[in-house]
Amino acid sequence: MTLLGLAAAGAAAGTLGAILGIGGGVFLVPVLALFFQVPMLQAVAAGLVAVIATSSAVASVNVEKGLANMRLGIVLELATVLGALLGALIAGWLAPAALMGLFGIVQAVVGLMLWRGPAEAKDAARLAPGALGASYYDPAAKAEVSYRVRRLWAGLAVSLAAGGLSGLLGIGGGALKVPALHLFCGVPMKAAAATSNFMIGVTAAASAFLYFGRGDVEPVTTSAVVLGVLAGSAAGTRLNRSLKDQSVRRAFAALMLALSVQMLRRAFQNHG
Amino acid sequence: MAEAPLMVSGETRLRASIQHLLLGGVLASALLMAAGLLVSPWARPLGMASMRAGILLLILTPVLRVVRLAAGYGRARDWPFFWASLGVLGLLAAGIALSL
Repeated sequence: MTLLGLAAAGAAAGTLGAILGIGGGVFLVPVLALFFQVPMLQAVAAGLVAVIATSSAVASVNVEKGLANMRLGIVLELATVLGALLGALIAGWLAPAALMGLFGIVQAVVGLMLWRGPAEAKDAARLAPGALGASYYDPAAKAEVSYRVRRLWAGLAVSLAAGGLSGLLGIGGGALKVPALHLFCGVPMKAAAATSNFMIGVTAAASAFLYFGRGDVEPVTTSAVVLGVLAGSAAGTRLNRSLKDQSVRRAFAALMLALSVQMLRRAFQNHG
Repeated sequence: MAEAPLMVSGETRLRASIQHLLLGGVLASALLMAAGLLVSPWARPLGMASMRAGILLLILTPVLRVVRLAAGYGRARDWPFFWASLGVLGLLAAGIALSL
């Protein structure tokens, strides 16, 4: 029964991850620790491996469709992987409550920004893509969407922070990257989600090696969760193609705000 | 402008190759993990070894994806992205070295 429960938790995280362009670690790690009494380090390790599974499964579809921007991805991965390594090193001397509080605040701010949406009306403009931009066919809008990447420095800075959070908390960091790529860099929401998902696997792999080497990857828990995640992300990818950008954005924003409240509550509980 | 179609076809081939690599890695590791879960009630050491192998293969899949990207951009003489891929590989190697 526990195995089925773990697989179901994985399936829920996989579906959300695929729809929202995040690895699902932000949902999975607390669920494993709170409801399945998995030790925190093992929960984080299972979250990281699950994040790699979601990223790889979803990216394999999004890469083929041209939604995941590989060029932008590999440039930003320089920042996410560096951040993940730094985060794993810094984790040793920062209080977990402080980290959770910081995460909750950042998530609330980004969630509010995302709910309001970009200042420009629609991102379906046909701009010449340049070296880093790209174009793809959007079935929901029934149009070819072409975009140019603006403010690469902002994308790199946020990727470094997202990688840092991945190394610190065992999540993918897509919750930060997707809105940043959309709002600061002008990448359409679906391409931002797909590109973030593409990067998350490499980012999580950097820290997953450390967990595997330390023996924190429990094979039975991790396998059950990962198989659930794969089934969930297969379902989520199909849903993603039939959703409009705004509904994805609003759902993501609401979820981010709800999560930030949970994070802040846990930070104060752990502190007190 | 005459070079555009060549670039597009090279990028399309690289995309297809990356897609196969990611899908292959995920499917192979899922099979190993599922087989391990099924076998472990009767043959625990074999089941655990199969699950561990599946998990390790899954963690290695994104690394292999970066290797494939580096090779693809190198072959296309797309130097900025070749060096970016190599930089990411260098950082991943540092992570693996730290874990040992």
